[in-house]
Amino acid sequence: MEYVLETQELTKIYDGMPVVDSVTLRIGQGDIYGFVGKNGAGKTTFIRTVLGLTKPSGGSFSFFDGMELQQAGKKIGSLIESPALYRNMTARQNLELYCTALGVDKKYVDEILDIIKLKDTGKKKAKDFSLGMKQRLGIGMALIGDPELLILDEPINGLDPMGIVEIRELILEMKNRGKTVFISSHFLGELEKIATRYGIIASGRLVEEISAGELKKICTARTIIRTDDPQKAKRVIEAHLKTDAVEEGKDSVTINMPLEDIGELTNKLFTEGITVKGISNDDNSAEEYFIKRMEGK
Amino acid sequence: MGGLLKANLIQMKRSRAFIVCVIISLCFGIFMALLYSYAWQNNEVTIQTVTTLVTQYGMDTDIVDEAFGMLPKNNLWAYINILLSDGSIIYIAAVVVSSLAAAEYTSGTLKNLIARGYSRLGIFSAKLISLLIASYIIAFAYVAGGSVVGLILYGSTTTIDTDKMLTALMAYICLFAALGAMYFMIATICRRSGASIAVSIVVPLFIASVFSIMAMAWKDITDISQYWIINQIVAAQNYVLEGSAWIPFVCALGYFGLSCMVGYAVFSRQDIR
Ligand SMILES: Nc1ncnc2c1ncn2[C@@H]1O[C@H](COP(=O)(O)OP(=O)(O)OP(=O)(O)O)[C@@H](O)[C@H]1O
Ligand SMILES: [Mg+2]
Repeated sequence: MEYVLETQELTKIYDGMPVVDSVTLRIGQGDIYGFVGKNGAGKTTFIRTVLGLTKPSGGSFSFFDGMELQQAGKKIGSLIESPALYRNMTARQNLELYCTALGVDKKYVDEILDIIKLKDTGKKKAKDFSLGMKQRLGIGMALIGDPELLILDEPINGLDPMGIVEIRELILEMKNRGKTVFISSHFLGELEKIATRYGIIASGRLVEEISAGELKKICTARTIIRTDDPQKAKRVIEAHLKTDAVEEGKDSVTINMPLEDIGELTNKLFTEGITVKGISNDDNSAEEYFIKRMEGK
Repeated sequence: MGGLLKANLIQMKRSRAFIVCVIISLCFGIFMALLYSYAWQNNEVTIQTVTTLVTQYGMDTDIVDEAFGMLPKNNLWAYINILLSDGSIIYIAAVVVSSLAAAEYTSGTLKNLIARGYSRLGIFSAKLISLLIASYIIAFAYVAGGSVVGLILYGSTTTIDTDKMLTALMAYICLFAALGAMYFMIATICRRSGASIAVSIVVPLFIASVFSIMAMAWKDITDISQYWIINQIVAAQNYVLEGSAWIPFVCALGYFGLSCMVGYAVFSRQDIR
């Protein structure tokens, strides 16, 4: 399979404003695609558009190498914003009813209840569930029919730490079984643990797509050098490395690129009379990177 | 579509609003039958009073016979007819249809189906069929309750021939389908059960009263107003007895078709949350 989801210039306009703006992306089989963006960036609207909940204002999309939603839908499980549940039914009844509607065998209901840890909620109705329990059941609904593509919009909202780990493991297991997961989340640290690719959306536009490998390179490549004279250090480093990827801080400079020989650079700084007080790699840089990109920078 | 319909029926069975409405209909039917029975027993008094009044005004007493003689008294068929035509049942149907249809919007479960690639036409049709079944169950409970009481009180003799009885019953079934489709259309537009219950109850009645007020001023309006669905339900049996049974059938078909078309047109364009 070449791709699981492809969009071409997909656009959704609300009240004259493009909320999803010419988004062209392609998600390959087996990817865990992290979709990140600020509140109101258009993540949910993008998902709602490809799932037929609202008509696109322009562009097109298809699944599994050219299938329309109508044929592909049976193989797509989704959780969009808040979980959609029949309030006056139990967890089991909800899952069974959805199986009936989809024409899927009910024998997997037990297994799903096990996965989402709602096996012993018994007669409790969904309306009396806690936030996290509802979320778990919503994820359970998405798992019905063993979908090839799982589209999860903020899946770990309201989950306890155990729940977060469980969902992470579930997603990784789906990947191991060759499934594809499209996941929008604000929990960047959590996303970093599983995603293989990222799409960054800002004001409806897909501003960047980056693989986990590339991201890692960029991020570990960030070196911070503490010094007395950042201004001069910046000049010296830029000239030495022939780059402009150096940022000047108050008492440091940040080099946003991989360094082949740090020793050579410190020697150079030393010979130029610049005191190096410390060198470090910043762990949080992936998050910062995302935040910058989300701001459209 | 089979799966969808089945799921809809299961949902209906599990809906508390539906179960409560079935019980209310049953009780209401029994209560109405007892009330009518009592009223009929005292009918003589009423006829006497009206006849006196009519004579006082120097009018022909034939109109009294016309008004009271239309319904065959004291038999089962009369009960069924009067229960169906008295219009009480349409409020319960409005509540049931609205709450079942709007529940899908408020719980957000519609998106679960659309996102799985079900066509909106399929979803709409399955819902419509299940809602019609729901309103028939309500109507059946209402009529059954009343009929059992009627049967006990007066036996099953009837003065109307079976053909006409069945025709009138068919007319009610068709009008009910039209009414159900109309309520479904309203729920589709409103999306909230409270709003759609209110609109379903108020608007048809409002239209009926606008018609009847206008009819006082313009005679032609009377002719138009009789085709309003509520007035058709009230008068369906008369059409059958008068030999113009086609009118309620054509009206039912018209309202059904129109409601389905408008309802689906709205649904197919809706943003689902
Ligand atoms: N039906 C609608 N009518 C008008 N505007 C809408 C509608 N739905 C969404 N929007 C607007 O589209 C923008 C994107 O909303 P969306 O829900 O897609 O954001 P999001 O990226 O999912 O945000 P969050 O992280 O908060 O979930 C918002 O500005 C929102 O107000
Ligand atoms: Mg969102």
